[in-house]
Amino acid sequence: MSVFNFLKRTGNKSKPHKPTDQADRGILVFENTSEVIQAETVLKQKGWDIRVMGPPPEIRQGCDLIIEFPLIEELQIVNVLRKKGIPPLQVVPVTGHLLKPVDIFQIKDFDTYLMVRAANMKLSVDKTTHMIVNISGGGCPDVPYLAASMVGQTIESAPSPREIGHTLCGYALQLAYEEVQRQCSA
Amino acid sequence: MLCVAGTVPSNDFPLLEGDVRLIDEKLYIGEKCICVNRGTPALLAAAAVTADYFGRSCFTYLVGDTGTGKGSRNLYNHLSSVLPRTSFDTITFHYLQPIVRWQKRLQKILGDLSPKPTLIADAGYMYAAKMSGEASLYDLFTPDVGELAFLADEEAPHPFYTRGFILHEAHHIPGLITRAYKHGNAARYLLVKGETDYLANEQGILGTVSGPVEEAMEAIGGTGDTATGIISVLIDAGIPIEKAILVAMRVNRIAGHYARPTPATQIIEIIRHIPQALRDVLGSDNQWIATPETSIIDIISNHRQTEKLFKRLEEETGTCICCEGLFMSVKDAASHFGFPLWDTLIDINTIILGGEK
Amino acid sequence: MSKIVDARGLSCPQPVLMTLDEIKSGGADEIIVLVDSDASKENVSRAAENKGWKVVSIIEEASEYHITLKNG
Repeated sequence: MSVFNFLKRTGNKSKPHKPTDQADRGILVFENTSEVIQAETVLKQKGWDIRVMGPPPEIRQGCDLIIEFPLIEELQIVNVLRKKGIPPLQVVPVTGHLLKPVDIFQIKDFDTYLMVRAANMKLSVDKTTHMIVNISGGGCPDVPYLAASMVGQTIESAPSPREIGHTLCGYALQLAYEEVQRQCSA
Repeated sequence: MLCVAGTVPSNDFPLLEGDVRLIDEKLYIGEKCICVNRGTPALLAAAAVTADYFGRSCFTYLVGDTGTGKGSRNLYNHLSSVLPRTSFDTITFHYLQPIVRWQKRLQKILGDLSPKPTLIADAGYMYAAKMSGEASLYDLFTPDVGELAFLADEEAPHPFYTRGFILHEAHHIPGLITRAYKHGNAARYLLVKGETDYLANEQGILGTVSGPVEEAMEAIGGTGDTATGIISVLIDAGIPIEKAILVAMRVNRIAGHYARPTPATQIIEIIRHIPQALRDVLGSDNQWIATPETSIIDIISNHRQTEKLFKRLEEETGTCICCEGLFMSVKDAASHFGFPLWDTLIDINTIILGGEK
Repeated sequence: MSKIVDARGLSCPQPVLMTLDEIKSGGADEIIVLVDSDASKENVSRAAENKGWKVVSIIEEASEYHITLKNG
């Protein structure tokens, strides 16, 4: 198994890559190596480009192995692992272990409509009918797909970005969607 | 010629290439028909109507991708293979999955193209351009304010991970622009799309466009895409890049204004007003009458209807432009009296051409 | 033939515009422009010279200026 092959070689950290080579990679931290093995199997079966390796010194949680994964696809990868009962303890970008998801929302009231912005994504609803009227922002290819699936539906009936999105833009839209739900139920 | 590379939100959509046409508000690449909605289709539709205005065309490489990255990888691969055999003057990269490894491969090809086309990066491709450390290869990035914060945060790999203290500075756009350039994370030009649009380079802010204002535009998906589409064509048509960008932003705003938008407006309703907005700002022969070098007395004496604009500027700046600056060029007067050069030139020419300001 | 352009009480750029209109109309080879500010005096003189006219004299009376312009 690839994990045990890795353990045989372990001892020396790999030569650090130039930062830009790793700029779009993230780290999944798990409770124990058994979860790492399971996660590796699941993710590789789904076709994701992942690597199992030793954790960088800054990661203080979890076991002695981490999974490096394409950060842009964090939303769907974490979703899959949650459904398999192996959610990661921690998810961080390779190039910034202290980086956290944006947790600031901007809310704009357009009288009949409400717009919520999370990171680079904006979701607008009709305050009376709760219909999603527009989705703007973002740059990843799932954004137009999410918009086509959600605009015209109510916030209660639309599919959530977590379910059908793939990327960090989708994740940001998920945060905006959850905030809109909170605002609509207030 | 202009080339646009991007994606459509369908996994079944094959990799296609061809000239873009907009017929009855639907996009056609060859016989393939695409609905116009936010994303690369909105950019292409705006580019198609703008290209029509100039009697030009727009070429595209398009592939389906709903966020898995599979289509984008195909497109990166295809572009790496075909671009060395093409001679595009302008290439705009749009909604592609940000994958640094693939982008770096493509960037080697782009760097070797001779003559080098004007390279414009927007959306996911721009994210990857920053992540790859090759922002300076590009001539223009077109972020919104949130994306500018991402560019300014040298540690953030995606706007989702922009650090809070930088996000809190989101209203200090000049500061964020400076920070982005300081860390080498901006293209030769930056256009920041927002309540006021800012054009900047490493030396600082070059111009702004702030009207007409329609607050609902921020909520409408695709308004940034149409701006990039219009800019791409104007640059490709040979208009100097700084003028092209500021004119395009004014055209985009005017088109939005004509649509009488609400947050529920869809982008096609704005695109249908782009031709009129182009006529308003550029006139029927695409030439501006007043340029930065034209003197104020020449403008007013030949076009008396512009006098009220200069009187308004006097009120706004608290100066006597018509007494002390009558023989200055618009450019010198803007610098001396402190009014925005390009905003003013656009207004002057719009008035002269009889359009709505 | 001499024409008088009375631009007293008018703010910039009206004195210059009235002078240029008179120059353009071609009806006179001498124009006397009446203004009541330093700025107008300077601007009218410069505008006329730019069109190839000469400033023959400027007479200051009270707080007014009488600017005599001749063609060529």
